[in-house]
Amino acid sequence: MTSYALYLGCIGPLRYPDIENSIRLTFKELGIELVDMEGATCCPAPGAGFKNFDELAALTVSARNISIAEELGLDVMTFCGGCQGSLNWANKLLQSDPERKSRVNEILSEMGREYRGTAKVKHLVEVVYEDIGVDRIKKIANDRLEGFKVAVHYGCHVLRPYRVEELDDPEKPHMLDDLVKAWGAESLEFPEKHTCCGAGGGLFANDRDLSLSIMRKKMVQIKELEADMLIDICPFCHMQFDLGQMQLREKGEDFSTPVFYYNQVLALLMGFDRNKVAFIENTPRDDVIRRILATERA
Amino acid sequence: MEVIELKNADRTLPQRVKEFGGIDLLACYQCGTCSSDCPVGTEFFFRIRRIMRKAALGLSEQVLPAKDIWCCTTCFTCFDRCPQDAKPTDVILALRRVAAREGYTPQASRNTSANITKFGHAVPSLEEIEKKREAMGLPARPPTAATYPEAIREIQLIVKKRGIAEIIRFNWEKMELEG
Repeated sequence: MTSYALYLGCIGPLRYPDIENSIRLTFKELGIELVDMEGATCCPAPGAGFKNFDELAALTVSARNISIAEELGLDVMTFCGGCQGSLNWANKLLQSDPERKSRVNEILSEMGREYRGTAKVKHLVEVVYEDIGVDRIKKIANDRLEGFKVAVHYGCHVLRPYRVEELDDPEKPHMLDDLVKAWGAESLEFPEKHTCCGAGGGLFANDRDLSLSIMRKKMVQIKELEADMLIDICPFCHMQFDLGQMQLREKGEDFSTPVFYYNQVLALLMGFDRNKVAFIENTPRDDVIRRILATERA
Repeated sequence: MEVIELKNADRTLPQRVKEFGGIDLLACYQCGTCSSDCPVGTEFFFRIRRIMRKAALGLSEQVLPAKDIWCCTTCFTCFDRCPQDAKPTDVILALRRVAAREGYTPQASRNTSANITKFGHAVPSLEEIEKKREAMGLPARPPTAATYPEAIREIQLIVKKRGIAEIIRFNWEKMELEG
């Protein structure tokens, strides 16, 4: 059986645990074992946390997290762009830089830990694409979402910097598009498709209006295309779109595209109860969930 | 037109940026690829190219106290597209580290690091969410620092070793930020 150490991060488990549960349930059913990383912490964020103040502190926190997976003898699976960005950056830097690695381990040794650099750090999209595969998703979905228009959002840190992530082409990625098309749905093309959601780098909290205006630029195009839903693969981008649209509505603007993490819709297609996989939201999803569930009877 | 007197410039700034991780600042030849690709730049007068130049010239008074360096979302688009590999995102992070040591850090950024120090997470666990977790059959708190206090102590050790509390002015006795 394929197994990964499940790295939870912060926003997933502490704000959108329905995303976490959709991942746990779908992976279990698809035969991928996810082992908890007990005592993991914040990653600690590519541009919002300790990395703003001290590089070695950020590296040490990331290395501590990775060392938990190393002890389990497993590769790490993240499901957040920011977590992927932090942990993979730290992992690759420390694997190639013995001096930084020894400085990190000097601190970790005081808590009885050691970072060895033996584990890989993969984002969920890579695991779904490579280990589960588009064909398997196609079989599950059976073209049920034919006629659904989907706007996909990769998020920045799953793809960039490319020299760290080395996953999909950051200028024209295809993995998430393929995984959405595997449902039978259409993946929309629009000019701002690959633009940042505006939440990262601390901007979400530092300047909410500016952060929202970056998101709004994307949402205008998604709304014009009459997308049935927006699909993301990062709980922080997810919060930006879900909560952010509500905040724009509070300012009198009409933005109401339903937002899902990829596995939430996958879970619905696999027959999991909506109340276990997609029920925490600020932007209503009832109508589109009803339409998704109705495709089963069709 | 404003005249910039370079004799008053802070010649230490490019060196400090380098020490704090912006190692290729001086490779920038001002082509502007970064600014034209920037998702923030279309919404606000935020120009990475200007920041790169000001940092290279040592215009500390213009760069370090301004909110601009804290407006980058770290999307790394400019980082990937820079023809000189000047790594603008790394320069921004380095400038934040220099600015923070001079006391210029937005409250929200201090808060996030204070949260990580207090909870081991960027956000605290909330009772409302804990109930929702339980309703799904998950433990009220995830099996992370939210469940294991020793994990938080380990993060606090890292914070102490690296002097983060001093930089963000975190008071260990009150377990909160000062001011």
